[in-house]
Amino acid sequence: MKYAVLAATRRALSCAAAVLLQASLAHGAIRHAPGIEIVEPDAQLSGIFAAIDRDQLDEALKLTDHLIAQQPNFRLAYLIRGDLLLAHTAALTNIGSVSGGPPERLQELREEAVLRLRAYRDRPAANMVPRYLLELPPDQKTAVVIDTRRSRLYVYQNVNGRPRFLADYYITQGKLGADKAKEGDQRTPIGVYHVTGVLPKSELPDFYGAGALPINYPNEWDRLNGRTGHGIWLHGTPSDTYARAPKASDGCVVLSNRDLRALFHSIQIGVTPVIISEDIEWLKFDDWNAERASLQHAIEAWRSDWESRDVALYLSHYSKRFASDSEALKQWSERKRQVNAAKEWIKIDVRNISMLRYPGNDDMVVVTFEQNYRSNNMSNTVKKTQYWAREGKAWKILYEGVA
Amino acid sequence: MSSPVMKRALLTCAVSACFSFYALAAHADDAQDVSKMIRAGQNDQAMQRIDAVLAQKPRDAQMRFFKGLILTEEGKSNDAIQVFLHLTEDYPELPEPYNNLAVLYASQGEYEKARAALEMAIRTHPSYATAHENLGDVYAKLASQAYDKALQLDSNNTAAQSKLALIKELISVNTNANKSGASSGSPTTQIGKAPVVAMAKAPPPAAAPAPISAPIPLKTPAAPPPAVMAQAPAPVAPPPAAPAPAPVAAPVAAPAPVPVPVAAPANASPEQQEVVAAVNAWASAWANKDVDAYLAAYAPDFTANGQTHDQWAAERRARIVGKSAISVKIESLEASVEGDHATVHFRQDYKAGALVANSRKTLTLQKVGGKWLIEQERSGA
Repeated sequence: MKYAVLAATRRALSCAAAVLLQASLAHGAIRHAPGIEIVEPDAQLSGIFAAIDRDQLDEALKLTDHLIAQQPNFRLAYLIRGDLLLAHTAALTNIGSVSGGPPERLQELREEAVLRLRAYRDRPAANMVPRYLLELPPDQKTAVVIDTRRSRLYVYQNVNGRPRFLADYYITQGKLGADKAKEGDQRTPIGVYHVTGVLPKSELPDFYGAGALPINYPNEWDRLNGRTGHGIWLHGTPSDTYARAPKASDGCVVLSNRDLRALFHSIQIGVTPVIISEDIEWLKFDDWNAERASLQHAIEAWRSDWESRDVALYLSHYSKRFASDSEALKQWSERKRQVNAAKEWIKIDVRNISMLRYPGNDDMVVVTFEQNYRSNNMSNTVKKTQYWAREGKAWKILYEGVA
Repeated sequence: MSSPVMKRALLTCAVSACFSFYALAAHADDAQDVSKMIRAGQNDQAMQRIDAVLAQKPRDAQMRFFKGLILTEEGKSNDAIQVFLHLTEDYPELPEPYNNLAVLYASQGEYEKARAALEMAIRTHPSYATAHENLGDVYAKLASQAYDKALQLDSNNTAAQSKLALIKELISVNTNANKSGASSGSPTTQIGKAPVVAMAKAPPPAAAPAPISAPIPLKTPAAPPPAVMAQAPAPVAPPPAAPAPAPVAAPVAAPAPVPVPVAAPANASPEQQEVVAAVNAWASAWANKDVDAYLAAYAPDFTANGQTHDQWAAERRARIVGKSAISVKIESLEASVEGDHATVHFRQDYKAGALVANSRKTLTLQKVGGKWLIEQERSGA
């Protein structure tokens, strides 16, 4: 006599596992402290599905119980536990073979499972760089890139100007998805932002979990484009759950508390960029180098043309669509001509250049730098922000402002 | 030449084997009497008798088992747990105490402990159908608890507490003693290998899972066996005395198993053919979840597991009705008939959902008023 699970039952679960075969457990090990290796939950999930794929349901159940012991409020882990137990008595058809119960919640957990597993499987290779991080200045330790379609936040480390993958985390976005336009539209903004502060756990309700990191939505570009809203944060999760559904916030980016705490260590207030994209593009190192070189060249031409005091040449770097916070191209050009008439010499240094490609179709890059301006009648040092966009073959300035 | 040391070792072995046999099996009269008293509801008398025997033979498994049953019946769950727990420690090879321990744990909501005990029961005795069924229920209960946590449902749903089946007899102790009688008697006929497949209606198609927006759809199990078999005609009613012609299996491309009632061979006596027909009808009723027909295949005084006939019938009804689909396949059937009594041995291939149980079964039938009715049903590995 044999007590067996029908092969079909196994297939039902292992189909999901098959997707994950390439995901190796080694990926998931992060060294937190010397000698202590903590395997992150998504790596454990992946291990569970790999065990299911090998038909080792008992092993999968053990791994699931281990995960639940570590993350006692991980609802998705309970769902998988239910499946693994039920597999002993009935054929499964899907993740979450539970009958009854609210279908939306079940659906949310299924989506979470799929997103976690896929993001884990599709982790960027070591030689790939997010296209957005064209140049990181030396004083900036990390950059954060969020992919709303993958429900994933990636942390990159600045290693001599080249971004290197550090960690990635599952995130929750707005109930209605991404591309925020209006106050209250329950969407997460798409753009280039930075963290403006830290709100500790002690000052917040439990709903925000381990704390919050506000970002500067709406930024200059958002305001120029009439986008409204405020209070977009990266924040934690209430204590009764390990994670929230993929689309559950009012526009904030929500992380598990353990992930948010890890992120706190990587963030420099006012410095660390947070780029939110619907679909991160990854470049090979060579392509990335070529892209940044062409823009570096344009910035250098702008700088030297300004020094040359040839106003027409200098203004040729500005787009017809150009606008500052207060002027359009016409007023800007007139003022520059007036100012230039009094110049006998100009000397400009730019330092700590950051170049961050803007997500979306605009072929636009946010450039910030420290500008040391000296001339016969005036000198200053400012932190400048420019938006450069490609028009035809040339890079042109769309926006310029001083922080 | 054998050394004296070795001789002594052998002797000790023999003695200890005897001892353990005595320790296991209470005096048959005591056991029968106690069993009768329990069935008659005379628990106090039974307990007195048990205590008297245990005073002489404190390790007696049968008496301790009865004691556990009475304590369970009287609602003294914790005492009963202690009795069965110690039995599993002293006789780890017996499945019944594990099963009953699991029933008690489950009644207290301790499903993880129940699961561990049932897994032990099955490890010691892989063919224990009751333990398998109980374990299935425990898995389902544990799964539903996990789902409750996953979906944040209120899990204080006590009404849904599953009721597991107690085992009321220490069968595995007695099997050796019973083994001899069955095969004696009239010539047995090895009956063809054609399997009886009695198949229930196709299970209702599982509700299509809500489409996942992200495409990692888990494959629906490729054509579950029940769905395939359902298209084949289920054997209806007892086949006529004459060997039922096997339905001509149209050799369709798909090699779906076609249910063929076990046919009595040409040289089978008319009585043997009747008996085979009765067994076919029984299996068919079971698989079709026709509980009335299924129960009608048994003698009116049929009992099992120390239950009354009505208790037994009610439990069978609950078990059968609760299944989504049942398949019962009979193979290697041998029937011997002696007057009004018949003994049938066969391999039974039972499937209900993902529960697959393949076991030897022996039915003893008696002809009453022209009908062959099941008097006794035994399973063995």
